Amino acid sequence: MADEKNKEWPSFYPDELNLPPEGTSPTDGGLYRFVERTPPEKACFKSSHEQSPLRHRRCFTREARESVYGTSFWETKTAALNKLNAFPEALGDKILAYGMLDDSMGVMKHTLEPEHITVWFRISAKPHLNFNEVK
Amino acid sequence: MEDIFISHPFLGKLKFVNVYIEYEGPRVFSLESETGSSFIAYWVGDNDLNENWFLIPCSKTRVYAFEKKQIDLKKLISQQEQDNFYKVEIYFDEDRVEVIPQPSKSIFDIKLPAIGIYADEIKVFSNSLVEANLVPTHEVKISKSNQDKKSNVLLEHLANVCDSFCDLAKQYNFSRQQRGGSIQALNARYGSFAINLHAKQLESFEVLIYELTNLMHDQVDILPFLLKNDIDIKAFGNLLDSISMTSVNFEFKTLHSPDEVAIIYKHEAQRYRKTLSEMSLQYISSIRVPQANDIDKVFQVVDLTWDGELITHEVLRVDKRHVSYYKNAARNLGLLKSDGTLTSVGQKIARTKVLEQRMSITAKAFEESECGWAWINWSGVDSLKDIDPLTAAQFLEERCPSLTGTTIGRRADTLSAWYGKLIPFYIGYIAVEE
Repeated sequence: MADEKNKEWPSFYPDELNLPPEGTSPTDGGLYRFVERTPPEKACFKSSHEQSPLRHRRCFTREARESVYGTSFWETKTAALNKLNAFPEALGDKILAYGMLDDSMGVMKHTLEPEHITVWFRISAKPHLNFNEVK
Repeated sequence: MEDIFISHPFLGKLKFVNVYIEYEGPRVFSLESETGSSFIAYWVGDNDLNENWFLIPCSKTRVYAFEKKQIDLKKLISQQEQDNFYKVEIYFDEDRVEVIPQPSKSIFDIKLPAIGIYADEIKVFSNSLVEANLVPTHEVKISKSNQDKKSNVLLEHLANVCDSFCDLAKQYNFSRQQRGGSIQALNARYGSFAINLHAKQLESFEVLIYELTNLMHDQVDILPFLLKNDIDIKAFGNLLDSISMTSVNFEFKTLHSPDEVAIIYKHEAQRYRKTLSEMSLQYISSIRVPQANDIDKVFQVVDLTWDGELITHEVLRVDKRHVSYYKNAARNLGLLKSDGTLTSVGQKIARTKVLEQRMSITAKAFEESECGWAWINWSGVDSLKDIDPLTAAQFLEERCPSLTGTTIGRRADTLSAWYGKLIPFYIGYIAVEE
């Protein structure tokens, strides 16, 4: 059973967090994400941990530590654009993309703040194929 | 939960206070050092190796202004109070923090946030290190109107004006059902009667008081403005009276925009007080109109006060919010003072347990209340018993313009209910024929 789980989910998940966490549901529906290029590539959907492997050291809550091993999305365009307006220096080069997720890709959960979703993707997931730049 | 953002030799330990905007974690928040200095942290992006932040030294007054949406994020970080801020690099792989002082103008080298971004919400991360965290938000200044006068402002005059101002602000908030609106005196500036205050619920009040004092400077009729904005004419009149009678000038300002000052000069107070005093007999603000139908519960408030018991919604058997309605009704009838103690009329009611006598005293109190008297004046009659109770709604529509919609009907119901209950016990003054 443990082996099957290891094959399904990324190997970098730390044992002590038991990821994906409790309270998730299968990925489903349309979500927004900031990506690096258009059309988006698989690398654009890496978890925060894959982008900066030591970032968990700056996570101050358990929820933040769990989320750092997942990928951030926004439920609405407004929520995403609000972040872009608040942090143009930090996010200015990013491109907003929208796409549909299906239940084969992984699991998702509301985390950290309203309208923010963290997705924990299965190794096999190819979300970038479903996403396009939002004009 | 770890509440230290960074620990650095010359900045010390900086602890999170309130978090305002998040993006995969806190990204705009306030911080406090061990000695109580406050900062705003603003995230400017991550590299592979580190997080990058701007740390802006920021007075608590300014942080507070941001929390109350009086200044936006762009202003908060770009209009700085000190000549320098800090660029902070926090490395993921070691306990290394680089702090690089920057001239404040270099904030414009980055892409600044858009105009009109405010805190998503205020999340308390930890308790402030400084006890109670009370920061001055407003200032009241009372000065002699005649600077050549040798004696200073008398203490009782100071107290009188402050009391009237406090009453006006409280009445204003009460009529808008604003809770938690206490005004706390913090300290006074040396060499003047400028008192620093901490108040949480004065935003709309301060906007109106600026407009109102500007109208007074322009010498225009302020009655339409008072009525439109439901500012209690009686309470404002009392403030003008106290300013005029004590020969002082009165200033009020918020400390986050100190250039904007509401001033009432003694000569202006004198000019307006007579007119307002006459108008207060005809027009009333909503706070003077009772919204507590059951006169027996008003008696209950009086009895509980007399017995030194707590007045709670359980005892009165009403909704929580109705407790303040019944207390206010007792105040409007002149049975309770503004400090919550009984007036002589209130004591008279408390001491008689004979219902007929209570009703008779209260009928007279209703006649002499602001609302009762304005109704009598509007009706063109001499006493309460001559009023047509069916005119309550029309009276309120014409003489209490701040009431609108269904509220008029509900308040008119209260007036009619009181009238119906009290008038059988009304005893008029006996005219003595010569």
